[in-house]
Amino acid sequence: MKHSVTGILLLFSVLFAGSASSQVAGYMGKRLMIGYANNFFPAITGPTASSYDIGVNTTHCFNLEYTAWKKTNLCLSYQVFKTGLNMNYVFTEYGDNNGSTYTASYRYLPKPDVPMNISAKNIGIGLKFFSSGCLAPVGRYKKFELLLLFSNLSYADNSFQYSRDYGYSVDQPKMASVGTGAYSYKTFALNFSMGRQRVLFDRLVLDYGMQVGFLPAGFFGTLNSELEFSSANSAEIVFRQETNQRLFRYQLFNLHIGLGFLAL
Amino acid sequence: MRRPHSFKVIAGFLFFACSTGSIAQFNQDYTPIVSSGALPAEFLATAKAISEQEISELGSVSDKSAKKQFIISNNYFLRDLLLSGDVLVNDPLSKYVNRVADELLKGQPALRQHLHIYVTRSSDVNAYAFDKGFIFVNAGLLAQLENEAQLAYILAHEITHVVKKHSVNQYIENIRLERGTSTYERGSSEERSLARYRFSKEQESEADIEGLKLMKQSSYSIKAMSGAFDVLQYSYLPFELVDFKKTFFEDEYLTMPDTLYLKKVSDVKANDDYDDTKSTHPNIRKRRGAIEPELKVDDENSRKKYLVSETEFKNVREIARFELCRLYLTERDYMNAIYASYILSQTYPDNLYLKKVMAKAMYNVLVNKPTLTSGGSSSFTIGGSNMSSKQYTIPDYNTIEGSSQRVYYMFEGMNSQELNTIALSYTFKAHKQYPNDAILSALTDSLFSVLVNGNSLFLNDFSKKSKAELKKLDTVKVADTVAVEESKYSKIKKQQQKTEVETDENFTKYAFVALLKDEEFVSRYTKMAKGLTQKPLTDEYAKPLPKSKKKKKKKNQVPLLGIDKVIFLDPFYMKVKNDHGTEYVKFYESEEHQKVLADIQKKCADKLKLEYTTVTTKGISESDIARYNENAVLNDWLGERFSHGDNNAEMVTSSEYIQELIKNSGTKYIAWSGIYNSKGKVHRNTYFFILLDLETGKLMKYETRYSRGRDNKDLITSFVYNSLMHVHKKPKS
Repeated sequence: MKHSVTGILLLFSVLFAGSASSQVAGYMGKRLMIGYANNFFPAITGPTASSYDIGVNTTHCFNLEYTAWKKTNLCLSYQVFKTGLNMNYVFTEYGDNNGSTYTASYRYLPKPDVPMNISAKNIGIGLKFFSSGCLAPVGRYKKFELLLLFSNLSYADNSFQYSRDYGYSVDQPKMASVGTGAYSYKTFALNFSMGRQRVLFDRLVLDYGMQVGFLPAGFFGTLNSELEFSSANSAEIVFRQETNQRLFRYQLFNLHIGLGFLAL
Repeated sequence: MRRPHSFKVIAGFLFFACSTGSIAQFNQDYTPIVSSGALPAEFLATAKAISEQEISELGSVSDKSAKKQFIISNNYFLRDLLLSGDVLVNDPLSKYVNRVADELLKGQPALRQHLHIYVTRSSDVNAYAFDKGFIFVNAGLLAQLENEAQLAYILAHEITHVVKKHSVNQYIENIRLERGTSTYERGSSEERSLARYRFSKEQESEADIEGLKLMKQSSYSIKAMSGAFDVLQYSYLPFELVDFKKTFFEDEYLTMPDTLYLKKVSDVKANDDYDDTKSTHPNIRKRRGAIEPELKVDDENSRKKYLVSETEFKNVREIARFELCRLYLTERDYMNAIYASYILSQTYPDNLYLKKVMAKAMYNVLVNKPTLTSGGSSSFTIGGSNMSSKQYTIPDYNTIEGSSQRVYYMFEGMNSQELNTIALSYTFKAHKQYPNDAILSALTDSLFSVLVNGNSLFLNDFSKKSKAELKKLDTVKVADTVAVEESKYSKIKKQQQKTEVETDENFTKYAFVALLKDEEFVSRYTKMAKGLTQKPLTDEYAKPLPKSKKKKKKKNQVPLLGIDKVIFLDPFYMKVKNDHGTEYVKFYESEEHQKVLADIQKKCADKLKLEYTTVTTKGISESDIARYNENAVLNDWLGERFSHGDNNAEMVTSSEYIQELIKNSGTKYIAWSGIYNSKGKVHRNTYFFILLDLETGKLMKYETRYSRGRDNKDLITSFVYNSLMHVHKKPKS
């Protein structure tokens, strides 16, 4: 993560320096904006961090934007969010238990019953292009963003209910531990936003719009063949795939609203 | 003993003055008329306030909605006109016209009190009325009239429009016709369209008849007024038909070729029975025919052509004619300016004002002719935005009737070098007569500049010897050098010179024979050729600077101007509602947003530390006549400058009258911005910003932006700040 952040900051500073001397008015001479935005959308494709019931996915974004050219803002953002992962995994094992074939299933059933947790800390770098006729940072815009997602998956020990189904009989389910209980993953997403930015009272910046995100690892992971889930190593892989798919759905579509202020 | 003698001298002089038709006050110079005294109350209230009051007084009437709309739009147009500066207040022309109205309405004091009559600065031969009792008579009409009775009849005609409330009736009828609810016509769209014209013509006919009745109630001569229709019929002709002679520009040595002089001019056509189907007025024959049976009055002998004063009428008409010269210039009608100035110069040959009109008109015609270096192209880009080029072209002389046709023919026929020479010769002579006049002096330098930088004519391109002298010299030389063998080139040159001397060919070469004996002429010419002269009137013909290889202009880089102070004009703001292609102006909102834009402008300037001063008529008070006049000259200047488009080479002829404004403001830069917001399915905004140099007329910055969405304050602020930043920020050295 350290290397990625350093790289982004370096790129940002190069772009910043390159645009510093250009003839850009900004808004009343102010070109740097610091703000907070919230991306949100009902969690209809997965649980939230605390509940399987329908809730709202929400991402907290801390933004730094600089009007580098007449119609372009350079954007740097730090985002955090938490979400939940529903783990109910069913697979077929050719077990060694008397040579019988059975279907095994793992269900994550911790006490209290909350989903597996994914917490993500992301860094985004992007460009905001304002529509023709507008001057940054006011007006309608389209934003392209590269988002690096640093996510942690955590879950409780001994919380997987394991059971075998032989077809003619079912074992008594028993609780088991799967994997290490915490994994860290890195991936990236490409985001596209459309919105409108307004300046109120010559200082406050109101930003609203919608965002579509594409997380390649989540999208292509779905196409992979079924994974084995019989050892600690394969658990990590399965959890990675599940996590990415959850992140993919989380990023897919969001609305956003933000408030900031013109700093410099 | 001496008194009777003095009296005789004065009487003799007056007789001479009257017999030649000249008015002494115009012999030397003419100062354009300006408004004076206190501003009338009708200039002070806002359109919104007046409209609200009038609407509240409407009560329950038929077509209330249409009438409300009429009141609002009428008041806004009226307010615009009153504050445009085109309306003259307490000036000799308006005072006189009002006195004629007093005579006309002697028996109707209540009606007279209801009327507000003004003269407007416009060359159009026209007068018009607003239902509220406002009547405007253009200076162009006054310049054409033959007598006071004609003016009285025209006023009577307009008064009828007021009394009969023709404007509001026409407005309501137009709405009904549009909706198909009119009882007047319910046919097809084409039929309804023609019905509009028919309705208007009926009103005009009524105004003619009722106006005549009003005239009959006065003591004005009915016979004398009947010529008013001739004035209207021939309104497209200049105010006099005087034979135009090319000798006006010639001197002992400068002789223009006959090819530039149109031998026979077209006769003035007498078509008074033209097709008026799509005209708001009946044709002149119909109008004459309609009132003719009513023209007979028993007391014609006791009636008078002049009730106020014949002398005053002639004085007023002469002022109007002088004004017309200037109006023609500002309206870019250079041929009429030259001809009008020529006509008046016959009576006032030493008038400085007329000389300047002539010199300015010739200069502007010249800079629009393709020169050797320009190749006729004048299109260029300013501040990253293209402004369409507005090249002036002389109207085709074949379309002109009467003696002014010769002016069109001559100026069309001259190429740039020829016109440059003629104009310089004329202007320099005028400058010698009035050496202290800054405009003539600057024009001289500008003409030198075009001669050198545009036409590449230098001192040695002009002969110092006259044709007569050369003829003589040639005879002597031939006699002396019979035995000497001549080179081929010398023979060619001699042959060329012989042709030139014996014919009209290359007449410009001999144009400056007299002037080249003048030290100042030679010195100024030399200085210009060496590039030592500073500041001609416009700088388009200055020598181009050598191109720097090092500095490459970045694409779309807008130039930074580094200007410290500007004059802000009242911004333009128009909000319209677009309803299926028909646009309705939202007057109230437009007025409110105009104020918002003005405030944004000031806020951004403050933020940028850009100094500014404002020229505005907002909140004008009774004693603000100076402000009113300031706004008038500025509007005049802007109107003229905008008609030039991106043509920076053309001189803004009214620049002379804004020198005081520049001095008082402490800056020569004027900024004007505006928004046009149209709300249809979506909001569309057009923003513009224009910065002009008042001294040279140079368009320093022209910016337009088109955006979709509401015209929010922050959006406008970002536009304005961006424009002003480019104005104020200093370029990197």
